[in-house]
Amino acid sequence: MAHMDMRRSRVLVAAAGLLLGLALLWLRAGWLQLVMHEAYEQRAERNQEQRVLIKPARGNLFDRYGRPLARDLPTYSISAAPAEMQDPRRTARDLARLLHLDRRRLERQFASRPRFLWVARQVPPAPGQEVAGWSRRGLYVSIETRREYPLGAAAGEIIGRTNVDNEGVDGLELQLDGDLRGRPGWATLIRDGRGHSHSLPRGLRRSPEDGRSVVLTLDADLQSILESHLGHVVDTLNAERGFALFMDPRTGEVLASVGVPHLPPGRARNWTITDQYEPGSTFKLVVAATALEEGLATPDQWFEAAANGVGQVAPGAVFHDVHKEPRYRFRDALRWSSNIVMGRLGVLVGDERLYRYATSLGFGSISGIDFPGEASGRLRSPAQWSARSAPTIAIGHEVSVTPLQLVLAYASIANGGLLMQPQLVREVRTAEGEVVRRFTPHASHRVFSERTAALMRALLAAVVDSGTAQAARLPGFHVAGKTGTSQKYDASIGTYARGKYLSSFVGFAPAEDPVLVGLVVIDEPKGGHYYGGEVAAPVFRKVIEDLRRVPHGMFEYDANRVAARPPAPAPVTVPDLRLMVPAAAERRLADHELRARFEGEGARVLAQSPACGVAVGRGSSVTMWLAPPVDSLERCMPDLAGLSVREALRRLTRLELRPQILGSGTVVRQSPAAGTALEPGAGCRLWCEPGVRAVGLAPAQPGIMARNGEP
Amino acid sequence: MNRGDRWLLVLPLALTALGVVMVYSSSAILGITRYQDPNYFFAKQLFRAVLGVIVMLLVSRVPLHRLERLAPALILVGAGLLALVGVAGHMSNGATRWLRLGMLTVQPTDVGRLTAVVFLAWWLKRRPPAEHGLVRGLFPPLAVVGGLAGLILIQPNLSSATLLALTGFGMVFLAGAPLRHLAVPLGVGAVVGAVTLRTHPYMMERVETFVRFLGTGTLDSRGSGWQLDQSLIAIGSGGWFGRGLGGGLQKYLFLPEAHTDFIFSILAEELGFVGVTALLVLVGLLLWRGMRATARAGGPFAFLLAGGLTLQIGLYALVNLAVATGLAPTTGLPLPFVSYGGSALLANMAAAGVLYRVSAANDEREALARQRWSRETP
Repeated sequence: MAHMDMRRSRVLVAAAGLLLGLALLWLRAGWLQLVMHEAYEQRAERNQEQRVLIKPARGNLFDRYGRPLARDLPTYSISAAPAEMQDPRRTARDLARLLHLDRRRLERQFASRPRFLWVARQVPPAPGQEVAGWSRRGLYVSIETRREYPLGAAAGEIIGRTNVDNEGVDGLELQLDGDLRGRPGWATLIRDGRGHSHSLPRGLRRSPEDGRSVVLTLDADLQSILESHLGHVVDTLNAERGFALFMDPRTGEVLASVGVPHLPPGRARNWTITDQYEPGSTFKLVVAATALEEGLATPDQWFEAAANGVGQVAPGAVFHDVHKEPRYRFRDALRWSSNIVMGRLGVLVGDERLYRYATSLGFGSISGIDFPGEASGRLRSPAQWSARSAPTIAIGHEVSVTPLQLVLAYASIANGGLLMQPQLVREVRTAEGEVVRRFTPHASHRVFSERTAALMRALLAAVVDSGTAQAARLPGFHVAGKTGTSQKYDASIGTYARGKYLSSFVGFAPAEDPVLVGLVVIDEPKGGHYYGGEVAAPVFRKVIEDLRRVPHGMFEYDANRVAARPPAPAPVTVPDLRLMVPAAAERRLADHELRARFEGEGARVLAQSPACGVAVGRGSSVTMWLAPPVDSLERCMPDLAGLSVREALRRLTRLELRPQILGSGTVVRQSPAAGTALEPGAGCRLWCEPGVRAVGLAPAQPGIMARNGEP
Repeated sequence: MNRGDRWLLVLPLALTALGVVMVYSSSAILGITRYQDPNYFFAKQLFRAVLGVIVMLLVSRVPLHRLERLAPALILVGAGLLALVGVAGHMSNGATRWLRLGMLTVQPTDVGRLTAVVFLAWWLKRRPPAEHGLVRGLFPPLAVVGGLAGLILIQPNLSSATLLALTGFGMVFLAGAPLRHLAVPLGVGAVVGAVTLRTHPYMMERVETFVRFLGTGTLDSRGSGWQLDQSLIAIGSGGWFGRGLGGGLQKYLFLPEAHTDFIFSILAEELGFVGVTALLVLVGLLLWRGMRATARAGGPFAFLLAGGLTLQIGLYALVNLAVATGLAPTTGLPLPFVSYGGSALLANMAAAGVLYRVSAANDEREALARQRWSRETP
């Protein structure tokens, strides 16, 4: 049995060893799985999970007729890992042939960068798909999108551009980025040990939402026609730059906006909206139309000028005429752009009216167009004007405007007197084509009467027919407009620079029933020609000429033309609301069918916008800034006992109280009592008796007065 | 004659079924990557499992005395196959371990380790080491086992050779060899192991990695520590209940050999500590029933046979789990019954069949003894 015992004990040892080992492993597993679980879990997730953004397609930009102005083009990028290839030489040969690359160079690159290299980026779809179709090892094809602009640089300043991440950085691409961008989706991918990614069937994901497309008001034809003519003129005259803006006067829709030369990304700006300049004679529209509207002049009225072309129109304001006449009729003064007569008209109209109409036309403030960086122009308020300001501003100096503002002003003449809200966007659509938002033309308010506008149209037509802007004349087509030539202000010498001019023309066509208004500005044309009539007007003519050749263009008969004219809101003049209590101001505005908007807090209206006397459309709103509240101590009823009535009243005026005086002499009693908190506009009563000795003007300490109380 | 220990049939079947499921879960991704077929490995393993059950049932019907008579022939077959590997072996993973026999790919190591146990049981029964001394009792059988291990070693497959040597050592121990005699094979084994490590740098690197891991707890997760690192991430991220069957992430080509040598890691990741405990209980029960059969065995041959087979299964399981959990240097040993692999599964099923046979013989004998006893003491 000794043998059996030994046997049994050795089995026991072996079994115990095995089971002990298992127990040890069980503890080890417990340690790893329960104690160290968190750490390993984190490592597993870091190892395996990749949140991959799925880029949405950026929305397209279309012109008003649905032609693309900006779109995402798929391009292919081909990369290689030569080390993974079965036959790098053959692959290099095939790639070189397909993509027109140098075969030897590609082979050398394959040899020097065995892990990764870009073979070609942004390859057109056809070869890209072919390479993808080879499905060879070591070749990788990825799809990227590239923003493409069918008009190229011609619309660059208005459309803007995107950066490498396809985000808008300027122009409309920036302004509309929120719509165009879309919402990226993401997917949780599982990355395997070899670095390849797998989409898990149970993996979380969110589909990307493609960007919305935007239909703009621009007309691709007009945009490219305008760009080509403007570029030609800027080139031949060796000008610094040129910019032009065209608009549909009936709707305020911007049809084209061009700037040349096309500056490199980062420096490019759309001058027609973001830049301001001294408009010169083109601004004479304001004073001329104001004079007609206000009945201060008639078209055939004679005005004194100067036979030698030099005339003083106001103290310190000596103006020069290019076309010298001793006297002018109003219509001829505009036709020949007489500075002297227009200066006199400025004096005649007066500071306040000139300012009011200029403001009403939108000068000096931004129009709120959907474009980044709009400039406001510069129009000082009359308080800062000197005696020569009104005539100077009348001829377009001492004021700076944006091309957009000027075009809007001429559009108001063209459309019968309405200042339109400028518009760049017609519709925003989802990627599926469903319209999300639609923008309809909107008239801001009426500035001039229909009659004034019609008169001005006729006067401006004469400018083209037989005046300074004859270069814009077209056979068989009636164009109206006004030239402008302004010397450039040179900040470095603090005065106007000799020989540096801004030449401009602004006009509309057809003159009787305009469908197009446009401004062309050439900055510093060289070679002796600098008059707007010589330099800018021909551009306008050529553009109209070309447009008339465009089939189905804007100058063909349009049955919808009448309907396109927006309903004119009856104008209302804004009342003076200053120093009124908010409730009263609101009532007053309601009488005029206007809405009130208050800014800030306070008892009284401190300022208002639009200013009083400005004509606005019914239903528009007036913003009022309220006076900040006076501090709490001053809003307590002071102790007035013992003061003379006059001194008591002086103190009460600052508190906006309506006092009622009973008796005369010295205040003996008051209601409410001293120290009572006061409502603005509340009443109070003072009982007075003669004979009581007046304390005089020396104010007593408020505390002492409060203690005195009512006698 | 069906009175054996049912546990010895049920437990291998349970482990095999668990293995088939885990093979499916852990190999689907690899199957897609390599063969565009998620079921590739699963189908093969399922077929082998069915084959394995048949083998197990067939072997369990072979009487022990017939096996004993076959022992010398079996060792010749085993040695012959191992020798053949050197001549006509199929290269894989830098080592020659497989033989193609028509449709079947056989790993002679598995044949060799089974025949070695049978042979040792046969030899040690004839010449008990306690009675024949060191030179005549211990050296001949150890020389045979050493020769087989050497053939495995030159494939090279250090771990299987080591396990074969350990099994032989364990059997000599069970056979009752004096403990001082056992120091000799231990020393020889250590020397051979050291020399092998020296001559195979990749093995040395793994050992160095392991020693560094034991010492500092850090792994070179990019180089030779990658596999262990990923295995630990798999096990550790399992937590209490795991990610759910099929929900593991480490099998996404992170963990090499996820369906073979590291299947435990995937099991731990997907079934959690609960699943691990269940697996260890199954293995532990199997070893316990195996050792119970050993202890109750009638003759020395049955005793040594059952002991050797149980020990072999146990050692494979322990080393495999130790490797997966970072308690042993990384090496490629399958988890018995569970890992993907045909020969190993068939060999283990055959071993289970033999174990059952031993237990059945025990029951038979004890029943006879009980009858005799009741007859003699009325």
